[in-house]
Amino acid sequence: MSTPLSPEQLRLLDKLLDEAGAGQASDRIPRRAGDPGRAKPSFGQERLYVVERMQPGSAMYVGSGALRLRGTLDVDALTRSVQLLVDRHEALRTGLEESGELVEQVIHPVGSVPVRIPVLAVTGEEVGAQVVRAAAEGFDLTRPPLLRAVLLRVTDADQPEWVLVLCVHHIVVDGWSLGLLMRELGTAYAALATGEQPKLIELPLQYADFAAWQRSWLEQGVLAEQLDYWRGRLADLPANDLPTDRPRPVERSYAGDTAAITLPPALVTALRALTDEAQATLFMALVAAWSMVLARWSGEQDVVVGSPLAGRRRAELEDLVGFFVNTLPLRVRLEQDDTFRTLLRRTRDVCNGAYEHQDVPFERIIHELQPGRDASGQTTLARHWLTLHNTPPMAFSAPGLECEVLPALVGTVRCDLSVQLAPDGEGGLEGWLEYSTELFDRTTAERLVRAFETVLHAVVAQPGVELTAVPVLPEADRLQVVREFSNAGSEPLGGPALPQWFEAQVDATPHAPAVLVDETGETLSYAELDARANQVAHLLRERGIGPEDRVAVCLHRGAQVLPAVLGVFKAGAVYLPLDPDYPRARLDQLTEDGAPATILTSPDLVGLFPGRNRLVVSGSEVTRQPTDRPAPVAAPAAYLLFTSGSTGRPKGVLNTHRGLLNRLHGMQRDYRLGAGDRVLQKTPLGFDVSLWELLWPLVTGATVVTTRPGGHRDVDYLHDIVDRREVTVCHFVPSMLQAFLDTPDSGHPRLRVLLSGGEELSAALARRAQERYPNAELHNQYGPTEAVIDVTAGRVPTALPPGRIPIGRPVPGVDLYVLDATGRPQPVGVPGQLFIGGAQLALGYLNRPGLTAASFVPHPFADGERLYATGDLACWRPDGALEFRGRADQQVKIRGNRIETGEVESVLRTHPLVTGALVTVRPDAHDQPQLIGYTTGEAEVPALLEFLRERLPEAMVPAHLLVLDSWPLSDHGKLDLGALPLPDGSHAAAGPEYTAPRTPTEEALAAICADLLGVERLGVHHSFFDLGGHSLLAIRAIARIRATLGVGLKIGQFLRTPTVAGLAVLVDEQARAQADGPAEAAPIGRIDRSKYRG
Amino acid sequence: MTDERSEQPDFRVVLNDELQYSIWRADAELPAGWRAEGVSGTREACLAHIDEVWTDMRPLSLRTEMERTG
Repeated sequence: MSTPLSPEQLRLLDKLLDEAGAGQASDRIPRRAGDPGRAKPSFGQERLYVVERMQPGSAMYVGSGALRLRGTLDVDALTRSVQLLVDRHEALRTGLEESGELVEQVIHPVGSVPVRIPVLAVTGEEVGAQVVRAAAEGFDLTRPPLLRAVLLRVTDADQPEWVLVLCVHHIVVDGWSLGLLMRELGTAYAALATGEQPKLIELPLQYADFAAWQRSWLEQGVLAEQLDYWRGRLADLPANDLPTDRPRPVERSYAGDTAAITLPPALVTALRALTDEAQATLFMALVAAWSMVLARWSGEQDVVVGSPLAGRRRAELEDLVGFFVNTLPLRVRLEQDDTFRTLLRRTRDVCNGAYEHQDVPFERIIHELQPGRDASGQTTLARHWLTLHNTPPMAFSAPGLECEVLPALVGTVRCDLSVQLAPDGEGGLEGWLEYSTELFDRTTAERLVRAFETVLHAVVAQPGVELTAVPVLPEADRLQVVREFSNAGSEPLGGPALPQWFEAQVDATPHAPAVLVDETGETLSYAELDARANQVAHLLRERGIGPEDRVAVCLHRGAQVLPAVLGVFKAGAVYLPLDPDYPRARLDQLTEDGAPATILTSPDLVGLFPGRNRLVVSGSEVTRQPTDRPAPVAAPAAYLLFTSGSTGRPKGVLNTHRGLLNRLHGMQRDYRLGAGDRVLQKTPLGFDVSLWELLWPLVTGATVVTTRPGGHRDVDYLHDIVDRREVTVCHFVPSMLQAFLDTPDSGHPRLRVLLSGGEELSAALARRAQERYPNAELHNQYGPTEAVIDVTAGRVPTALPPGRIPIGRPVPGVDLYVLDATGRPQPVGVPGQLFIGGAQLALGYLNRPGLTAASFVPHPFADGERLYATGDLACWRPDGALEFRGRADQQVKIRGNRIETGEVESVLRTHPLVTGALVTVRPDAHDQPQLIGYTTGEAEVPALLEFLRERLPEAMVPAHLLVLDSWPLSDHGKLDLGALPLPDGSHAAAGPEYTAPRTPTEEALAAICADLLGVERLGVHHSFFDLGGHSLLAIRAIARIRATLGVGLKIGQFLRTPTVAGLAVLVDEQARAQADGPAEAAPIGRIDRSKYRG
Repeated sequence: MTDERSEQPDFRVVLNDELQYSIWRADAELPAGWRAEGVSGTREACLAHIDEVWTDMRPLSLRTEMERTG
């Protein structure tokens, strides 16, 4: 529940009011004139009414408290006391109703709203559950009292014991009111129980008087002036969004829970010393520290903390029950050189400015700024709150009774996270973090609490230290990510050098099949392969080619590839694969930059490299070489692979034998390849996955099965070869796996290991693969070219948990870190850039020292080592697995919402007719980022847009959607982004173009909305909210739609589909349903006027 | 405020015992096992300097080993 001001805040306010002059204070609030039974609502009530309409009967805005009473209780006196309060305070006799398009307070006369207090007999153990049950029930806002009392009689206590539970809807009370009610209840009960008349101060005003005055006063210019202030304060707000454990649901239940916070007296005393020095308050220090936590979690140096203010700036309001509290968005910026002292001063100025402009209702600020709302219609302006209560929330005293306030039981939250603190009575503060259980796990909430406490302890210890040096993670949490999860210190796996490892296998199984060439059916035994590789190595040695020299291999898949590759390794040279399918210009560039000493190729390809040193592997120069093994030679660098650079010029990455050995041993440890295994070699040689496809089987006694040239992109052929050649291990890039699964097959019973990597593996695709191939383990892997093949791996569990599929954990010999922009480790659950260290790290980019220095940076946790900065975003999961979160440069902010395109994609993929989805970001005509969505499958664009709007906030719905027949794939089988078509405008979903209404329903809706918005005309695809609409206007629109078209829409439907076109679909559907069956939208209940008169 | 944040911080050129070069924020403490090479300035200036001076990109231990075995 919201809160009164702290004494410090009150002192400050008094000062401000003094400074503002006596003008306001002397201008007393008058009693209102007019109908005593009907009044306009306050602005706050309007806002809560809208929320209530979205979730009718929700307990979200029900405040509750429980008191344990020991001793003799006069139940009748207690009931009469509550009745007395209801009669005394108009707010408790008030209901909210719609009258035409308006919302009204309906005030029921004294004596017409009877109170009953049910008494339930419970055991001591059942008390907690009963309190929660009472608090979890909502109210019908048209039927006062919006207050409910339940008395629990504890049957198994030593002495008479009772628990009084009081629940009130926030639309008629606030936190201050609850305290007031408890005090007055105590006074009333004390008198009534002893047969006396209670003496309570006479109330000069009632809540409706305040509501009427608030409107007229604000509309006299105060509103405009204060709105100006807030417009300036809140311009260009950042996304203000913390990473959540689960995606935001469209329909929020606002289920919540709490995690305890304890700030010991010594800490609070030290904080007070700091605040005194800065002429600030304890509240301000808490806001500053909470802002540091929010900044760390959100990655923004500019955060908003919502904080409720009592809203009772006038003495005559102090004894009134009603909803006065107002939320203010405190925007705190953290600057680069800040110390806690400077941040505290800035926070102080922010708070003081806010107090001076506290009269604008929060809802008006939201309307004015249009900061966007999330899927459930909740504002994105203030998602994280902090409240400092000045007293224990309730105090009740009565003669003959021993009273104890029971700890708050929170079952719902109204925002994502809310820090609630109150004095503990011993000089410290205690309270809790309320968190939405729909968004956060308990472990995350507890981690946030630890961070908040850590920050506070750190800043009082060293208030003059720069904020970047203030720890936000407690030491144990920091060590968990940088020592344990990171795999730091993991010893690399190794053994004999690669050629000798292979030779040992040859000696063990000389006659076993090493290579099976599918196209020709040709098989090479281990001994035959070894002999041919030796010949290649001898020739290279003869030519003086050895360690550090590059040798290119340009061959079509077939019997020649492995002798060539193994020959290069035996000679100690560096293997440089050249894909013969590459365009000529690229081959020229790679041979230019890679500068190979020679190129191993075949007669049909030799012409690709005129003027270069070439060797035909099948030629007599090779075949006349001896077949015995050349002497081993030490060679550090193993292979050179080119990867696309952002500048367009490919970068050559030089990888080591140490890394390659480590990786092959790691794979063998995890997947145990053996004599019976057949590994499909289908990946083009320019892609590092081909390295293990070629080499891992040959050091473990298995067989390499090579596809025919071009076969890697022919799914029918792939299904066929897997069956025909009895393949047991196979790798797919997810795009290709998708295509593979789109074609029916035998179920591939022999397949036992299915590896996915190179792109993000979606949960939907993983599930399909697991269902199709129940005999195969599915493993997900991740790794850039700058480290040997894969640096993470993890088996995808068969019972898939919801959410993204992790990319696994660091593989042996590799350490990984998730760091923020300043190099600090990110807390679990918070995305940051992924950094790679350990044995598989590349030496660098060939002949590119500057680029190497920029990408391979000093290792902050291991002396003199380096880390590769991947440019990928990832985050740790609580179990130590990593989640891939896209490219750092693919994050986009649209209308203040931070959007990960992957999230939109995953929703698209849940559509039953969508087989694949991709969302990209491109600038629109005004150079603002916009989302372009692509899908494959049977779903059509209008249906998809509808589908997305029901599930995602408006900002996440792509501006353009295109349905493709198939995905353009690159040579490596990865999606070719450059080949995607550009939108031609025909699928514009939210473009500014005007589309005239096309049906009578659309015409009627466009007329209603245009009139309410005060615009001349409204296109059917324009968003009601983009044109200045807000939720109250939406309620009016719904009323008019009901009057004109006879269909009652729900406010939630309107918020999610705020266009004429979208609404027309809903209206027509509902009209049909109504024609077919009983009316769906029952008219809103009203109180009987005649009863009121009586 | 956006101006301040878009302002590029200064870097310095650093190198480790393997004589591998990299860059590090000038205002941050040097990471263990790395020393300042002497040059500092914008990121671009530091990288351009490294392009000039880092002529043998092999780690020192590897150069020694190759010279011994080769």
